[in-house]
Amino acid sequence: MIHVASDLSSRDYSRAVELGPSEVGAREDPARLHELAGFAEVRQVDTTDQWLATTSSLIRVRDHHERGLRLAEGDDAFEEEQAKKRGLVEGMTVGILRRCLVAGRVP
Amino acid sequence: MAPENEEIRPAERFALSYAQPQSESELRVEREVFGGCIGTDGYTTIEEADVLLDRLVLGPGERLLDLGSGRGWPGAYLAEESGCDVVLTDVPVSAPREALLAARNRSLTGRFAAAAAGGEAVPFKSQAFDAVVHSDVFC
Repeated sequence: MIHVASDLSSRDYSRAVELGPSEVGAREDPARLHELAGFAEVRQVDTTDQWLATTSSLIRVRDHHERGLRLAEGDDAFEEEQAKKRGLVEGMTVGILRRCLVAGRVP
Repeated sequence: MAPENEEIRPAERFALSYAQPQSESELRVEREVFGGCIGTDGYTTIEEADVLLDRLVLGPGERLLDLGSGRGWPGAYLAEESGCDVVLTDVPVSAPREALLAARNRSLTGRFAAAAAGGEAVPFKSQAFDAVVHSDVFC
């Protein structure tokens, strides 16, 4: 999941929320949120670097297939999707957004 | 709180997107970025799904719930690899419908179900599942 990095200044937090997915804004990290929800043995693995590689590739390949994707998705949706991905990449690159996998057990 | 029209818009877009099969261009993007046609519209790679597979340690007879599954990635893959049963859920009814159609081409006969449901009020009894996954639901 994509989340806001911990210990950000107010300015960086606002920027992270602006660049991140619309429902993402919690200041606690995902492992803590899962613990608060009642999960035990919660383990969080940071996958930000892998996500950056995948999404940079996704943006590049989508640009390469722009014509077909615009036909399939529509012009507005294509442009929104590319802009959203570029914003996420910017947030991850400067370290105010992170991506991770979280696993936990029901006690 | 976001204005109501901003809350509705993504759901409408997803419903429209899932209502039609993936185009050849979309399939090409998937193949080139993810290494295969896995039915994703998120960012989870096969390698990340394999990490989930290792962590969940599921097997035959166990039941997995995939919340916000879209076309079935990665829930259907996890079920296929582990032998567990899987239930996929998503908000637009067209998403699990697409996943059901895709499942016919996979080795999931009798181990696969799908429901149109959001994550806030899933229509299942407590303790009905051995594991739950959600991947790129907010992205």
